[in-house]
Amino acid sequence: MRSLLWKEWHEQRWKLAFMSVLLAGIAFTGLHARVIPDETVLLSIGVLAVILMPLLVGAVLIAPERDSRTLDTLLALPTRAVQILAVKTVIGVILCVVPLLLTCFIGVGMAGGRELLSSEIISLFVKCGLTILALFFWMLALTIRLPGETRATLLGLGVLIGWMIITLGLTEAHGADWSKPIWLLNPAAFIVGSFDNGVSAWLLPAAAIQAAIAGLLWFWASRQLSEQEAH
Amino acid sequence: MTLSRPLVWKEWAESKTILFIGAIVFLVLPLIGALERIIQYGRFEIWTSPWVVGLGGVLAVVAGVGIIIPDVAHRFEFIRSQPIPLARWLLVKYLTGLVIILITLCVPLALECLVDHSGEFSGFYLSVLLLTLPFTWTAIYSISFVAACLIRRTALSVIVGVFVLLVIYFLPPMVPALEILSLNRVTSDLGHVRLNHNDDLQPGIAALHPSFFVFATTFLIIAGLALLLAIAAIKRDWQVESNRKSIAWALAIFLLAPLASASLQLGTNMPLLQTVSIDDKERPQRFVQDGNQALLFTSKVISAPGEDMRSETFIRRVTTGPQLELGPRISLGVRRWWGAFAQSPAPDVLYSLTTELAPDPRPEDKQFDPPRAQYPVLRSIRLLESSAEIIPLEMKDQTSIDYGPGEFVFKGSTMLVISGKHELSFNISDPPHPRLLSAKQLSISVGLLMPDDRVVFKYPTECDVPVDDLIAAHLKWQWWGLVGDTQTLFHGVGKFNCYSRADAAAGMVNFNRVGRYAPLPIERYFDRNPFPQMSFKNGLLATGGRQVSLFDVTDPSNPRRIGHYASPLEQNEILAILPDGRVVATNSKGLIVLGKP
Repeated sequence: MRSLLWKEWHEQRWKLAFMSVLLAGIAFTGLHARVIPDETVLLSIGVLAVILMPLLVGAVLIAPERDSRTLDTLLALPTRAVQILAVKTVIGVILCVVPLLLTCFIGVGMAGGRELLSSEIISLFVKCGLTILALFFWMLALTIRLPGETRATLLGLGVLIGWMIITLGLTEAHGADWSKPIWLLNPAAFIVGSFDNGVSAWLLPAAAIQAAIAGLLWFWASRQLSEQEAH
Repeated sequence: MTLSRPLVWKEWAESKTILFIGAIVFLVLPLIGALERIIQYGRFEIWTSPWVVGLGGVLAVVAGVGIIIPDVAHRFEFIRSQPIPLARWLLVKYLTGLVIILITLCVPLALECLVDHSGEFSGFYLSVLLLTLPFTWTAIYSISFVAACLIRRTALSVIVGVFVLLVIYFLPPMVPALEILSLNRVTSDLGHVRLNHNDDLQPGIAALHPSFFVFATTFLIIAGLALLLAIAAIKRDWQVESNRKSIAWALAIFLLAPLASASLQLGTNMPLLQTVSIDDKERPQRFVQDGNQALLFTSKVISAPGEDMRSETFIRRVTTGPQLELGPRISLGVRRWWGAFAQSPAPDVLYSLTTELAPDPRPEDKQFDPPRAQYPVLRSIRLLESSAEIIPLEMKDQTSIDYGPGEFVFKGSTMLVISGKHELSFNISDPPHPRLLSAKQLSISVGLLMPDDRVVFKYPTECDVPVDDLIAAHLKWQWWGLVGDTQTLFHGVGKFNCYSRADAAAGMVNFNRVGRYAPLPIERYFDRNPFPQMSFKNGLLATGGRQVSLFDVTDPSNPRRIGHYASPLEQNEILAILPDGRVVATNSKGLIVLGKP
């Protein structure tokens, strides 16, 4: 397990540095310049992270191994496929969470209490983080059988665009009763959903349902990888 | 030569598409706009410069990469196997692309220069662009060319080229060491050449100017070095490995570079020291200070929506220690106080000159409503502990249509007030009860003379008020400002000119334009709605709006922005610069105090 973790960390750490530099750099320069409202700067960073991170991390965790023909070697190791996927998932989650944490820290440090309360900034990043994690599991699962990095990225883009279209449709429904259950299934529910009835009435059910979906997707992905290991 | 001719023919055949695309974008599209203006206004005006300046660099990048990539990425081995010296092949390729770029971009700009008959700044500016931009494009083209030779992948080479373009456009204005490459700096310096020669810019004169010489030479050296590197890269088959990781990093730099440029150029460097809250509905209006005390005037709208607007004015004593402290508010009643307030030599007595409408026997005519005559009212305000005693002195026999905000000059027991073109003299031996001694109409004029951008201030020699006070009184309340004393004058906000007092004859003072502050494009983009309100002291000039900017104009030939406080959600109006350099401005909550940059 430790060797697997070391390998993943060694391969993926540039993404951690890249996302951290990118998001924290935009946060620092944007909040320093103050040419646009802090909320717009932080929201833009959140949207950029939601688009970029699942694609850069979730969609290309397994596919590059197939591309470079290292997956078979990996599966031939005396480790179960589930463990390999678990290690990749842990590293993926770290890659998604750490740059956001760093950016949130910069946001609170530079702009907390200025135009937004520190709690509002933290809340914004928590919601973005939850959306990113939800999309991460979708992309991880749906790209698990794809043979190459390019196709995985394209499918990841398709997933993103698909959810964006659904989100637009749900927004147009203006809170109609039929749309509410679908909102809870939407990874973007955390950032676009209606919080009129309070956080506990919306965020907690959405988080619970998204966690369940993520669990199911991960379970399905591990089954796919185990099947390949068996072959 | 026999070998070069087929090479040139090949390059021309492969690259002429760039010329056609350039001609469509930079010539045909502006021509369509010109046709529209012929139909709408009946005159031929072609504006190619916005297209050329905005997209010229991008075309240089596309050409620099596009001209070399097909050969080095796909058929390099074939070219190497041909009996052609690689250096000559590359040189022909480079020069063909460069000539195409320069023709594509310079011809439209030259066309606009030829059509532009205004002879004013726009024409001069165009000739400066035509002189300077080709060197910038050459450098951008050359660096993109060498990037393509080294990287040999289209997307990454274009990203590198665009990054270089952004760096060349945005870095020189903000890094003092690179200022020699700043187009703004050259434009400003050549502006002085034009002023000195009192004529349109002559290319020979411009080329001799050290600023232009250094600018052009530096870019030519950059281009030359890039070409040498490209030749070495091709001859020795150097190639930079590029992959997903390098593309991602290049993109990050590509995104962060302009943001960092904007942040450093426009970033807030004036710390917010204090926020002073005032009643929600009160708006700070004036901040009057002298050596002993400072006073804050605020007003509050008390009329209901739909009614004629009425507002109540309040005054507060302000302690300007390390922290600004406001005393209790004192009402000055429901009245419009729009002129200047001056502290009299006596403690706690203020003067304010306003005007009231004189009775008009004519019936109201909404179609044609000429300016109504007004008479001045001098109010002395005696501040007590928690109230104010206001004593008005109405001068109903002094009606006129051209009173202005007053400027007060104290001379012993006499107070002179310059209001518009009137000089009013008062005896203030009993400060709360001033008496009118005399009233004169002054023949004062201030005007900007073109084409040499000279400001001429004319005044009557028999005036009792010193000329410096007269200038101050007349220019302070117009779109003109004085910095420090009457030696320096400036005009305009955002983009402003500085004038120095040149010579004076009896009844006339001349100011010659010596400097100009032209904001960078990025400043113009982000500094939305700069508020035309200014404050000036000790060579400092401040402008408000959705930001506070502080300019150092101690050297009027080189005005520099030294401080900035951006507040995108607020409208800031500068009220005062305190003696220690702190800036007092308004915001939606009341007052903010900003520290020195």
